[in-house]
Amino acid sequence: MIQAKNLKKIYSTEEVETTALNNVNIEIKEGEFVAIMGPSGCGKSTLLNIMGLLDNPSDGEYHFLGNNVSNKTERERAQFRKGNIGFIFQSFNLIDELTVFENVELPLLYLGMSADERKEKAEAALERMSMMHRRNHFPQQLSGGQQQRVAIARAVVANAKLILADEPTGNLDSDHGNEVMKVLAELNEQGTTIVMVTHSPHDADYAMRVIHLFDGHVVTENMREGFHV
Amino acid sequence: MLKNYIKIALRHLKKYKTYTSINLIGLSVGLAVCIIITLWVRYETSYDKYHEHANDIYRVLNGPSAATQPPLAPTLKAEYPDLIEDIVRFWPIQAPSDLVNNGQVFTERNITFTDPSIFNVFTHPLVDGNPETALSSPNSILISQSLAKKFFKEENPMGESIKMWGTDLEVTGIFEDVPLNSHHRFEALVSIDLLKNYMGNMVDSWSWNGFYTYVLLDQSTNTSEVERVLPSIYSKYMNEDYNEAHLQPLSDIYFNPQDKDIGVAFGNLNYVYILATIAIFVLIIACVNFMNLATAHASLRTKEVGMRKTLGADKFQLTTQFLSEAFILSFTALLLALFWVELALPFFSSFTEKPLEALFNYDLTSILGLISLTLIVGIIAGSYPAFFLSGFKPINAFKSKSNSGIGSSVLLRKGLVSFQFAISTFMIIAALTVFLQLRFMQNKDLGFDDDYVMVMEAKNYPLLYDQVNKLPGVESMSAAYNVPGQRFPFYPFRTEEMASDSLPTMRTLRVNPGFLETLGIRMESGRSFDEERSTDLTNSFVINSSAAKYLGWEDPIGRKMYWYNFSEDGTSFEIAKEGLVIGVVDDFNYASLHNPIEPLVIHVSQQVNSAVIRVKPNQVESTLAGVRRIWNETSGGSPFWYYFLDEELDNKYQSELKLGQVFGGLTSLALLISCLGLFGLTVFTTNQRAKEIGIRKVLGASVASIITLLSKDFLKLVLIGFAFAIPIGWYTMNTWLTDFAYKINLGVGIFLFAGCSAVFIALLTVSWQSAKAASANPVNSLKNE
Repeated sequence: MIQAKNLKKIYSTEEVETTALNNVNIEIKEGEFVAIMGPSGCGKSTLLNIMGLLDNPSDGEYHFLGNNVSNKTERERAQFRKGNIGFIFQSFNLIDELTVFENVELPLLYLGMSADERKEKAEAALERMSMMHRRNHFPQQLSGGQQQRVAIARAVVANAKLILADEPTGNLDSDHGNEVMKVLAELNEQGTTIVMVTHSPHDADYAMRVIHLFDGHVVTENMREGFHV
Repeated sequence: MLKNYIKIALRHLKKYKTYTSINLIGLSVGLAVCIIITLWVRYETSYDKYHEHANDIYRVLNGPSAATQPPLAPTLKAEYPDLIEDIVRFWPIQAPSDLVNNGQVFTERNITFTDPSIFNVFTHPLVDGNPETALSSPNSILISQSLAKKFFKEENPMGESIKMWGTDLEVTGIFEDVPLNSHHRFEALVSIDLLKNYMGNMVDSWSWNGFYTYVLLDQSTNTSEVERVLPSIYSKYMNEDYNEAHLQPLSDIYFNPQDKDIGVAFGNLNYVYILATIAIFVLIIACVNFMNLATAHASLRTKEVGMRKTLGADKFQLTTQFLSEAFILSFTALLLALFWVELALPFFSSFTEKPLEALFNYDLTSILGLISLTLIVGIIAGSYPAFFLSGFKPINAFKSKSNSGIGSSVLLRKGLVSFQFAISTFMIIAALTVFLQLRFMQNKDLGFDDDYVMVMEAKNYPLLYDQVNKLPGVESMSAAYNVPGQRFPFYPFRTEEMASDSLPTMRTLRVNPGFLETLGIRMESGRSFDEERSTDLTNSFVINSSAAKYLGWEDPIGRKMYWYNFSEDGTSFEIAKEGLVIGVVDDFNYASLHNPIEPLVIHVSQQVNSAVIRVKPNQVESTLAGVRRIWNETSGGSPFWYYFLDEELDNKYQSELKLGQVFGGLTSLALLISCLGLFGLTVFTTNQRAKEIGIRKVLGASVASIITLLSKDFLKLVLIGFAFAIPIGWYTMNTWLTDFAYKINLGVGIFLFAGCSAVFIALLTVSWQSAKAASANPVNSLKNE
């Protein structure tokens, strides 16, 4: 599903050049649950942004679903993103002015689905996250765990093949965090590929494979016991 | 999708109430100003357009004057029937005339002598009577509907008799009231054939300019063809070359009245442009508020935009979303604006004395116009924020506080605030200039003393004089033909040095002895007319110093002059008075301060129409009562009218006075809207910088230093705006002042005052909010992350 070859990302300001990623090679197959770990500033989020087609690498090749998407424009990347990739963020990033249902419905709206279809799918996704009873609430009226479940519902509503999660439990206490991780594990069992950036070894336990990054390099790749690809 | 846009727009507007109300108030006031001024402009430019042939009617001009010879029209029609579709003459009488029916007397001012062809040329529908025949007899009179109602109440006036100037006339038609937006209005029409009874040969004379001539041309006829034949007619009948004869389009008359136009309503096209421009300025200022606040608010919405993009929204969809938000706001503003218009229009209408309500009846054109205006406002105000917001890169959008990409908008925002204040300050400069010029004109030394001078009709003058002069409250009394404020007529004259066949003209004032003294007109040299010297009454002239200059006389006293008037039969001019110049008066402003003082010759005549009475300041009421009593005894039943000269002269500046007041009002609105925008930006900035303010306070900053910190940036922008307003204001207002022969100098003071008031008002706006932020407990803002 994902092949990254010699990925490089350099941020340059007027005075300094910072190498965020240096010769990163990663392959992720369909159905995998991969955790990316590493200290702050090691390039985890940069890698996730490139994988999620939110950003282009400075150098190297990135193949997504068999297409070389290394040097696509924002418009072209947006086309690949649509319906294929779901995002989950540490800070949830729900739109405050929209209700739970409207937030979940949003990706379908941009896919141009009919109102009936949107309603069916959004309700199914909310049902799956046990958030149907909160469908008319606004994000601010929910607990952190609930907000993240809505964000997950939004990420999966369009049947995304890949879910990218950036520290999904980072803003949550351990009970809510576990809850979210269980949901992600379930999704993975049902066939969704998940790539997750995390600081937490506990969360990483849910993954099949852990990639350690340090200063922009892949240091180790551990296949966790009991998992076989 | 659209539903989603509208929904989120409404929620967003509801959430940020300050933001929404500032935008709504600003936009609605801007729109309301635009709507009202548009209605006024539409009315001003609608003059005379109601005639069916409006585009094919022209008035014949004789050089700078519209007064033409009576035989011109019949000659033109008879000799060039192919060129002229039809032609009509007007001779409006401005003096009040008595119309008598069954012993009832009504004094009317607006009676016009005309030809039967008036109904072929102009569109004046008859309610009753036949337009073909109504004016064919010299003894017919046509009256307006409202006059008919006044005279005859519910009865049918047709065939009734009305006596005018001693002749019995039969009512042969009733015409619809002449619309208010007509340059020439009349209440009654009588035939020019009737005029022959009173003026005889004059009506066929080529040496009298008294008539206004209007031609109706075929659409295919070029005006230049007519302009070519006019000189040949003049040279054929008058042995004179009138090369300057040309045609003035009917629709042009209202804004371009000519010399000697009497009884003609006129407007000022410049004022139309000025007010239209200002209305657009006010609206632009309101649009700028929207742009500024929307881009400022954008930083609160980066997350939303980023998330939408991540979820698959493209730039077009986001642009549409933000534009629809702008449209929702502008249409809500439109509804509010219509409410303001309903409130303000009656006042504005009565203030400008134009029936503006009548135009505002929500017909299809108006509704479409309003909708397109609102759409334009929505696009102007909404497009920049829409493109700006939708251009956020999703990856940057989540780095919540960095706000990259907003830097460019900050610069634009600053530019726009400066722009708003440039306009506002310019408007203060302009309003102030108009105000000072008006005050200058009202206080200007006219060269005579117009306070406590009463003017009235000089009927049975010798009798009137004897009795009024005895009243204790009368300081002095005299009479003249024309008084300052009226147009003094031109008459031909000649001096010894001039060739005997050259006849230049000069404005002439005919007075009774004592007139110059009563008005307090000062002598420059020589002496005034003396009742005791018989030659002063018959063979003497006083000229003004402009005339002395014009004639090139260093020492005018004792010079000889000849003054001409019509001959007995009205066909030529002859010497009516010859005599010596006995004195020179200081130039005094007898017309308006718009015009420089022209050369003037004054001589004694017993033919007078106005009495002037200088009243003792503390006895105005009792003297007025006495004069009224004497008038009723001596005038034989004529209505009593009078006015005070200073009030009448002030009326000359009514249009400027109104302009000044409208200008002042619009300036306040522009300033108000600018300050609203500034207020909104301050609220926003202080919220944004709440944490910084908190940290600074923890580190020991005083409230004052924080207010300074927050106000400084805005003040800089206001000052930049001021810097731009100075040259624009200086240039524009100097141009405006060229309209006046007597004008103020644009001093530094005006600019300084305008700048200071803009700065002061802005400072007040900004510091209010800054002070609130500065005095807040820092703990609140710090823990609030």
